[in-house]
Amino acid sequence: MSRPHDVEVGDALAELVDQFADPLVFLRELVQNALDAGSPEVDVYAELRPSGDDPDQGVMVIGVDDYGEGMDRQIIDTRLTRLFSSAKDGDLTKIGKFGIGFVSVFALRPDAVCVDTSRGGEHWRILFRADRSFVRIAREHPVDGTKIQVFKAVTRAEYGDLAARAEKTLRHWCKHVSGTVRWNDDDIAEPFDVPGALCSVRSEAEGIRVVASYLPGGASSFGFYNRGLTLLEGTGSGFIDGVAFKVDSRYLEHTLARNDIMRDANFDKAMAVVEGLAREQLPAALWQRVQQVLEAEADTRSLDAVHRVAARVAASSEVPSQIPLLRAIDGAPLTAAAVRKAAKAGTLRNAEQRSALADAAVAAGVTVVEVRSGCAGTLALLGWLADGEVHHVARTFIMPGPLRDAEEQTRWAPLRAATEALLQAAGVRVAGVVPARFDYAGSCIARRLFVLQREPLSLSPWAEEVVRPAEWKRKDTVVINAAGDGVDAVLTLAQREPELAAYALVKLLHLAVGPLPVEVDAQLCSASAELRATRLSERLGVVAR
Amino acid sequence: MDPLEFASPSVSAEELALEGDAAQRYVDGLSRAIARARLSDQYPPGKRLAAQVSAMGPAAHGGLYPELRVDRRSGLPSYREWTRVSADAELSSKILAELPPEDELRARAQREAGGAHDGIWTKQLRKLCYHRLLSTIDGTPPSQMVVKLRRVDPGQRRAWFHVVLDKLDQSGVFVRSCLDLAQTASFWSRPMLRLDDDAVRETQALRTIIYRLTSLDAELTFVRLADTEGLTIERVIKGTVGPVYVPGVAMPEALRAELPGPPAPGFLMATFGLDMAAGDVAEDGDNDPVEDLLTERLDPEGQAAYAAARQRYGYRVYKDRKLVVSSPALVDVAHRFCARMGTRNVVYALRGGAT
Repeated sequence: MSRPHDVEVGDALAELVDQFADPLVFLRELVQNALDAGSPEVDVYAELRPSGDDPDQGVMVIGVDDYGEGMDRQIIDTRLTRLFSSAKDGDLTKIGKFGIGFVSVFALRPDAVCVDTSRGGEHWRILFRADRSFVRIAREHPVDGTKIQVFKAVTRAEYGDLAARAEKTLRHWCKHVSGTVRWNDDDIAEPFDVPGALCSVRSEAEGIRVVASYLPGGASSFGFYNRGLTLLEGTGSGFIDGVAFKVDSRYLEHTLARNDIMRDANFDKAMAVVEGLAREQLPAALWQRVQQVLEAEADTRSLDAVHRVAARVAASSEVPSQIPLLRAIDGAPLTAAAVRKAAKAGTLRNAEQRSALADAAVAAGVTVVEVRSGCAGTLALLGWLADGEVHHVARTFIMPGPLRDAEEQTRWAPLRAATEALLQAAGVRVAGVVPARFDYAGSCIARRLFVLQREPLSLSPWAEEVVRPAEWKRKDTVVINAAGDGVDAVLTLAQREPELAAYALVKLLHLAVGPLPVEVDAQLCSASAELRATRLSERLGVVAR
Repeated sequence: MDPLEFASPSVSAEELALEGDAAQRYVDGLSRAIARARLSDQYPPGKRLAAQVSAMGPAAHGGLYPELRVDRRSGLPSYREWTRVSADAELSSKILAELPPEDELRARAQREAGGAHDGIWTKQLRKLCYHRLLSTIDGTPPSQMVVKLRRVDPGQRRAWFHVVLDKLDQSGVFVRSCLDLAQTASFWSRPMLRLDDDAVRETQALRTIIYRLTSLDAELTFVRLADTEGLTIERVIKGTVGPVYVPGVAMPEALRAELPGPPAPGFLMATFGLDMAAGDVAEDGDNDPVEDLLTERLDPEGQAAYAAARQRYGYRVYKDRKLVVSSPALVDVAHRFCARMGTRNVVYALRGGAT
């Protein structure tokens, strides 16, 4: 064994060591060195070795084992223990550039660091003390690659915290490494994907791989890697708005402080690949994804999520006309072309689900797109394709429903007949009076007292015109909301005084939509009284006979 | 039973033919040994080779192939086996697309069960399982060359490259040749590598030279390439997988001497050599218990010629080898074997750590 050799590490070390915000980032540096040493596998582990009699005290050992080229004396003396003396500078097959990776172990303020390594028939152990001075000792037995152990006295609680943080740090920086990195024997590899992506496209060429995706809500994120080692990750639209991407290139470099990525020609080149992928291939993947989700009859939330992004993307890319993007309420797929055609014809509506009114609208040639409650994404995409707001079918059409049952019909018979008679007596020509239910799903007339319809209880367009107070036409049927405010009282009255109830009803209908001219009121009142008198006299006549 | 116990292999002049359980135990042992060796980038790709070896066993192909041929010189599967896996892997996606769904095959296979021989659907089901496995592994053929740009100095019209060639050598072992070299563009010399933006392509001339040199050791490769106009050689490293010693494969006398008798059934010692000729090797050395340095096999005149070459080109040579044995009990045997050969080597056991 050779004579131990003491060396002082320069003062620059302290400043350099302190640049690392997280002292455990040394794990990234050591994994990087291991990869550059040609080790496709790296084992990282942590253990607590009890010390003395105190079960709460011990020495934490964090180890990093690689199986690469190892180091001989010359490398140890000229590179490992010297700053800024990397042999990798400018070598595009290496990740490290600056020659400061190893010293980062001192950011943890360790009590000691032990490095065992072999190369070219030389076998060495280098022991660093807490003050960063070191001794180099010749080993008798070879080591496969380089094994680094960092020792630090800790309590059991501190160990638990440090070990958990070490694992988290390792996974953050090394999850996509193009080799195998193990933490306590577990492979930490994660697929080179954007987690939670709605759809993704990929590109792979010599020295570079890219994945670009859309995330729910159109969120942006970015990740830059060199041989899978994380250089920079983040969220927000710092690079490409609305796109999440990861780019792994052997030409990318981090800055000296490791907190950013070098914005050089290689960065521009890599970003050009990402931007090209995002611009030329990603939208097409999204449209296909929309189709897949539609065909899979996925849940409303999934469909809305892709529609939300699709609505954004539609603003900046061409929407394919023949791919189904939306669903009609009867489940039929709808292409952009079909939606645009209906919009142009003014026959495009939306609805949450099927209903008698929606079905009637479809039967009448209206295109009714399914937009579930709360699906702002689907509504936005529909609006984009239609080039304007698309209205709910139940806000633009009305279809009063029949009374609930025969009993209700019977109850309404006197009032209905009296009202028709009153209107006729007052000189108002209408086709008839029909009581109905206005409280169907999505009804826009639920609080109205009446509407005028040519075909009572059928589908007809909604307009203020159908509740006009005057100028009722001969072909109009007055359809009365059986559940309207005050109507029930009138109906009760009609069982005893139908003419009076009819007058009250007609007055109620008029007052609901505007003032009732005094002369009209007087006319109605007189007619009502006359009808009542006639009825009573007829009844008396019957009695007299 | 020891999982690595082999049945008595049938023996031919150059190859062993292993069948059934014996073949499976062999591929299990070998694939685990390759994975255990923790091969660096200077060796043939361990993960890929281990996966390909696994795919050669009956458990993977379900008896689609009757036997596994092992090269008696190297103890590794024969060339035929490697190419078969690669070819099958290449066809996997097409075959999987043509086969009926698994549920349907299983149902049909179940209906025809009980016969004296496997029926057509049982075979089809096995085929499906085999190709599904193959579709998950890297079936890269045994031979391939990759060239990477290391750096460029436009002023000197000089570029540095890293060349990697994987090849199943004619001696039966797997070899990875790694070359670090620089090329200076010159009117007078034919370029060996072409640089188009960041993409590098080797010329047919370089490919031919390197393929031809693969069977030579690192030093001879270094010298031959160094003599090529326009090229400066920095490092030549050759990593090998093999030889692997199993019963039926010739082994060094010194190893045989350390064994109490003929290798017991289940015995396996896989060796992984590293042969370097480079300017950054500190001292000439030989720590390989299996194969001598080239110069050690030369007569004094030849040795003098190589000494002069080392002087002229400024390189030194070093050979090393690590071993993986099939059980911890064999670790001492491996160390004694190395000691007999005057070397100290890393030894891994399939159950246990490195020593």
